[in-house]
Amino acid sequence: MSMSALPWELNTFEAMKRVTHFLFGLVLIAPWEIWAQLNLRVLYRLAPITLGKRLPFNSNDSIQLDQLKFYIGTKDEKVHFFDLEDSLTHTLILHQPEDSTLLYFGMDSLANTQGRLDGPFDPLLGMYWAWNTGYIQIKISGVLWTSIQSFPFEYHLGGYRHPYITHYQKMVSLHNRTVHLSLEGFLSALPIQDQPKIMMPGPRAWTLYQHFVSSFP
Amino acid sequence: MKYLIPLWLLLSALLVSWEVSPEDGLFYQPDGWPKPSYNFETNPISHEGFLLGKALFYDPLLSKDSTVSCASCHLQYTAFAHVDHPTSHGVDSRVGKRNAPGLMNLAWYPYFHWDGGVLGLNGQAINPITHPDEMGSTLEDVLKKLNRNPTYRKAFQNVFKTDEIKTQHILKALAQFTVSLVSANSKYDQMKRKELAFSDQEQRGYTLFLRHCNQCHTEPLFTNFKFKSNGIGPHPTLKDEGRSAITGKEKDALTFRVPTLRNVEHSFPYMHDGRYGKLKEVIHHYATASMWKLPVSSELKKKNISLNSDEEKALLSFLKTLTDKAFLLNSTFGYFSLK
Ligand code: HEC
Ligand code: HEC
Repeated sequence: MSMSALPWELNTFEAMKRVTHFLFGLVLIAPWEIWAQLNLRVLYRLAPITLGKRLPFNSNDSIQLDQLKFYIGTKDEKVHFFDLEDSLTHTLILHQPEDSTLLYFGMDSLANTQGRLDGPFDPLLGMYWAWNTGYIQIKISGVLWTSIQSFPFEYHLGGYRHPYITHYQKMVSLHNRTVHLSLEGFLSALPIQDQPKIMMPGPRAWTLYQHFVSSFP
Repeated sequence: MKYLIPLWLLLSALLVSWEVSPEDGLFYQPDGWPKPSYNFETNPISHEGFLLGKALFYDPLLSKDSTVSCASCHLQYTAFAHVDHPTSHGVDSRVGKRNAPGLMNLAWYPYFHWDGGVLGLNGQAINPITHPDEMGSTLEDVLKKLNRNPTYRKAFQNVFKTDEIKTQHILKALAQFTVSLVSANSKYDQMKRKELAFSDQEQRGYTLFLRHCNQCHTEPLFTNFKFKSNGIGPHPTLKDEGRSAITGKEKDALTFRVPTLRNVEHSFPYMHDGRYGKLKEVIHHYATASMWKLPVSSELKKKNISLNSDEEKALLSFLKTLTDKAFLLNSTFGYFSLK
């Protein structure tokens, strides 16, 4: 009997066997798979944030995010690429369920410079700093509207040279295997009106990156 | 015969199972040279990989409008540097900020570009492919074009055992070609191997070189890969701060990576901004300490070089012994496309 036989071509015994295997597999594998995940939700004023949508900001302004990408990791997946636009990247591997877990933010200098160019390190993801080898740890861009004018902004934050190293570990609390990242604080910390672009490592990038890390609960 | 022995040792260490010689074009380790910085384990060189990399190097398909190839700026006969233009230009005739350096002995480079900002040869090629002043393309676009091309797909499948061409495969293939550009057969090398002798003038030039230049342009690679200022001063219009753009440190302002002097006779124009067209002018710059502009690295300041015109000529004739005709004319590095 070939493996590709369709269910109605099987005799009852074989069919029963398949069904049993399937159920057995569900019990064994499926919950394990779910348990092995950590979900990341990005929120703004308690609601999930959407790219390209104008949101109220401060008291009279509004803001829109066009891009949000960053690296984050768990002890079971040290370097994970998160892209708000791609929901497949919103889950990380994490085996042990707990109330809180250690998360890794950014990456160390070795990961930045080892020259692996595949998986989360693929320059195709737009996080590779070509002219100054290393990875952008968070990329965020969008537009801020005040009552007077609009301010497009773009931040590429990262860096692994002493003392401006964007690499941290932090205990973060979980609810139902989910981390809730609330962006209000980080967005307010961005110096959108006086420095709408930061594209290289240094003190300002480093300070902003710390605001990002402290947005995690 | 002499350099086949270290060659075999190296290659067996790399578990590469075929025999090559310098004439095959593949990487080899010249006698008495330091250990390469390039990690061959991450990208084992094969003959097929070298050919694929060479085809990509000469293929304008890598640029936005398919007009510019790597070879547009890196010509073999000029030691893979860019001639004519002080700073290189690419698609839409945009003029870049820097002079394209020659490409040779890259396996020994700890970092790349005039400011050392690029840390690995594999990742280097993303720069020209995506730089708006160079090839102005995107990785997505290049990957799409290559994956649509049956000849390339077959070649990549053959070298990397992959059905889908990904970023790392393009970069590794290019590196298999560029890392194989070993130049170690100049008159200087032959003199070192005692296959021939220098003329009196060349020998005098060599002595001057050892006294005044070797500290930075250190044998056998003719660079110590450090970041220095050689007194040419900042360019009047291009605002290039050099190394400090990478490190953010004041002390690195206007320092540039010491360039190799191998094949320097052919890699004009000179300096990071290509400001000197002739080697004679460069030597004259060094010969007259009073002409040096700030900043000047301490090695040079201490020397306070002053050379008469005879000495300048001797130094020039020594620099010309660094020309490796066998490398510049080696047809295995020349134009190639996959059939
Ligand atoms: C438009 C001209 C141009 C094109 C096209 C171009 N390059 Fe370059 N290349 C340059 C310039 C200019 C530099 C120096 C950049 C710097 O120092 O910032 C350079 C530097 C390099 C280096 C580093 C050399 C060193 O001494 O550090 C390598 C390797 C290289 N190029 C390979 C390539 C490859 C491979 C391609 C094709 C994918 C290519 N280049 C296409 C202009 C070009
Ligand atoms: C303090 C270290 C130092 C010393 C000593 C030194 N150089 Fe240089 N040399 C450099 C640096 C740095 C550059 C590149 C400068 C730039 O582009 O701004 C350079 C560039 C050159 C170039 C241009 C190469 C190219 O491909 O563009 C030549 C030729 C050269 N040096 C020859 C010499 C000679 C000959 C001597 C001895 C008389 C010498 N140098 C001594 C640091 C040094």
